[in-house]
Amino acid sequence: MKKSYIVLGIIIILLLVGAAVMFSNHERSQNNTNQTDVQTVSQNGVVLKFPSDWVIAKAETNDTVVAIADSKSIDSSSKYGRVNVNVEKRDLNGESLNTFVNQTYSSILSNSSNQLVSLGNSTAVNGKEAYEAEYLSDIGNNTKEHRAVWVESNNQVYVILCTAPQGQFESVNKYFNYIISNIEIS
Amino acid sequence: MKELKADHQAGKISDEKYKELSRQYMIKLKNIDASSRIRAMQGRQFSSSSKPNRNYRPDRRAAELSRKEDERLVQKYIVNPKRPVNNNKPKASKSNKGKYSILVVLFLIIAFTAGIGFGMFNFDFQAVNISDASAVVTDSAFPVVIENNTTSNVTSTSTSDSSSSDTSTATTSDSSGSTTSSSDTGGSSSGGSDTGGSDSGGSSSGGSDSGGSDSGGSSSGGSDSGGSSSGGSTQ
Repeated sequence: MKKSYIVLGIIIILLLVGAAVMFSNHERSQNNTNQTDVQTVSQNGVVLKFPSDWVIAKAETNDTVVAIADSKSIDSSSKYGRVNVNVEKRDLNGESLNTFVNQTYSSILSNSSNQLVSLGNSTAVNGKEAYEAEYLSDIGNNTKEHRAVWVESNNQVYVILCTAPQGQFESVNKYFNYIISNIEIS
Repeated sequence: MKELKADHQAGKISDEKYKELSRQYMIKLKNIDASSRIRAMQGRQFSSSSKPNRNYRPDRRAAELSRKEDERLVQKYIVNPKRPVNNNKPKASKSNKGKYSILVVLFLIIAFTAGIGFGMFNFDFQAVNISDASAVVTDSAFPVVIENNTTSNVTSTSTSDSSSSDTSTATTSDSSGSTTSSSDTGGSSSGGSDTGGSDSGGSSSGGSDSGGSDSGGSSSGGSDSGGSSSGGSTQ
């Protein structure tokens, strides 16, 4: 009698686990953008969700927390991802986010190669107030469009920099929207 | 025993008979002693026959009853100790044990199910490893600040060639140096390193601009391969 209870219990557990696995796989397949599966990366308190055809990238900046790039935009020789998202972080050192952002773009725009498109408030990121700037950078006849979203967390400023060639920016902006709206900063 | 001894000394009984009778009396005495111990364990008073007062002359009927009871007790607990005192307790404990074990198993099943289910729902099987980087990104949202009037074509040509990793380390160090001079805030950078007019990337023909610093760009002077930044090689 006791043995039958134990066997029955084990069978019930296995059925529950199987159902949980099937349900979670089904739910995960629903989380996509334009019928694309989603990947997740977690690094230094930042969780990033991005399309499955994007890849993790190695950033050349010291402030980078995590960087990703569209695999279709990677240069074969240099491995540079032309369409990329670079999440960076710096200490605010007591400054306000607004001040920090304004000073940053004062410096950026002092370079004539850069041209500001817009600068202002953004929709909340991770439930926090955010600023957004769009600007162009012209380097050697290669014009790139940048979209930077600035958000503060724990006295540190996080910036989500989305970069793409100017002619390609509008077509990939939907991926940037998805990545920015699903980012988690702890 | 005393009477028997007196009779034997008086010669009323033979030696053999004396030995036989004394042996029987000794056995009975031992039985009485055992029965009195049993009574004590049961919490009952000593029987009248086991009282140590030798001057007491018991009633014959009471003595007979007591003697029979003593013999019964000795027979029951010493000679034939077969059955336990209480037959009900083992059965009850067995049934309680069964119930408890079933409850424990049930609890374990529920606990494991809850834990496994929680883990399955929260574990992200599609999370990727950060070490599997297959691309390079050089764009930065922070302006590159130069110190000592030197400009660095930070990444102008660094990423153009395949050995980008080598040059990139140089550029990285350069930019980090410059940013420290500006105490890594946007404001100070504009006030600090630009005094010489060699603002961040402004002087460099390739425009190693603070916003971009990407590859394949200016490379006008070819300045960037590591040492150029500090030397202000950009023209």
